[in-house]
Amino acid sequence: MRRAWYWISQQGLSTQSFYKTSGRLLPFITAGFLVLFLYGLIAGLFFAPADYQQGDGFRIIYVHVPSAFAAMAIYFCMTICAVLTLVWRIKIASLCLTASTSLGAGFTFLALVTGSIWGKPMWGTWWIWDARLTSVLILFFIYGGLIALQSIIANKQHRDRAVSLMTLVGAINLPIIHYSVIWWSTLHQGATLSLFSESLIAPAMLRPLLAMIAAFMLFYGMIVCLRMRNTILVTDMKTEWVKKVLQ
Amino acid sequence: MINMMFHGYGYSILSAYSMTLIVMSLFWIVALLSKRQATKKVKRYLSQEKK
Amino acid sequence: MNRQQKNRLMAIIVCIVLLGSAAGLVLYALKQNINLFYTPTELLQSHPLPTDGIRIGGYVKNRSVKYDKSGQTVRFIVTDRKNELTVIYRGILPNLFREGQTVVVGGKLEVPHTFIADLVLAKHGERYKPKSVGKYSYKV
Repeated sequence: MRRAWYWISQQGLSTQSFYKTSGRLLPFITAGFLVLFLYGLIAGLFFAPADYQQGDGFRIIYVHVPSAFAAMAIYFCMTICAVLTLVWRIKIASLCLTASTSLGAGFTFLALVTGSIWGKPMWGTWWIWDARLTSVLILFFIYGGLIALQSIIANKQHRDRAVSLMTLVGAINLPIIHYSVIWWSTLHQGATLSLFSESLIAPAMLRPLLAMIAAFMLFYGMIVCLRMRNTILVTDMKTEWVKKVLQ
Repeated sequence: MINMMFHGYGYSILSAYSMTLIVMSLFWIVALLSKRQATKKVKRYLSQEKK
Repeated sequence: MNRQQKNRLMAIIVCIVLLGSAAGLVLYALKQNINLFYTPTELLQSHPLPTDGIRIGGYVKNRSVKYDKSGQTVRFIVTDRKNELTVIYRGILPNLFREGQTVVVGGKLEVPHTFIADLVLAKHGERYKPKSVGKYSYKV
């Protein structure tokens, strides 16, 4: 057991084995993403029935909810990477952390913009300073802060630790976003999807939504893998294994 | 026409979906471009090392 | 896990607990300011009665929506099932505005129980279902 753990921490989490494993997985991740995304897109736009109140306008859910889900899931993933970086100094965790920030910012931006486009016809306004919208805007600023932080620190070790620490501080925002619609009165409605109880959406509308959420997460995995592999290739270029890979 | 197809919500749907597609494809394109760049850089280094 | 790693983990946990409680206290102190609206009951019970620049939220009472002759000014009752306020509004209503729907109304309170609105927003529920009402009945 101890020896297995030792092997994992020394070999299994090395940049070289990550490069190999991710190279093997990437085609499957990409294929899965494409299949789920196309299904979600077509089924969401044309086959899901129109909503009883919002009519066809509700179809924005198929890009809005997956974006918001990804924005928060990416931050959650980054928080885990930050702990792994700070406590165990695992290199691929800090690579994953720095490769995730702009993706998280991108999806938060999408959640805000698609929500705004959805809010105008339904609620009657593009924007309102309610607890949910404001806390998601703060998440966007946190991502922006992390991107700025990682681009101004030249020393890699210092940069990874500073970004990890700031990620942990910003993680307090995650439960605030999630519970904002319960703790305070807001214009944004409560959660439709739930892990532990029945979802409040008809099955025919739910299926494309779940496919889109999975597709967005696979997309995140795909881009993060691509970015981490690029960084690894450059930082490890003096090693033997890179030479072998490129020949 | 699109607006009619989705009963008045076509433009909202179109702008939300196209925004999403644009952002996602930008991420993808940039990642692939930097892959090419990284490979080039490492290959240049390796060929210099041989000399 | 060696001793150094244990220490670092402990430091992180202590930091998160402290920051979390600080954030919790701030949010608790600001509770009333973060809420987007008062319910009619909350508004009528608050002392001193705020009058200007407030928002109320509640259901649009059934059969209470009435347009004036020109069709530009609308009058309806917002209720939380205990207290009600009459709202007068001139302007465009959002698509989801209808009787029985939850709305958020911004404006000022005129005595007695009358609210002059400059903003009407419709809230929508967590439920999504097709138009043909079947198994998934919508509860208001």
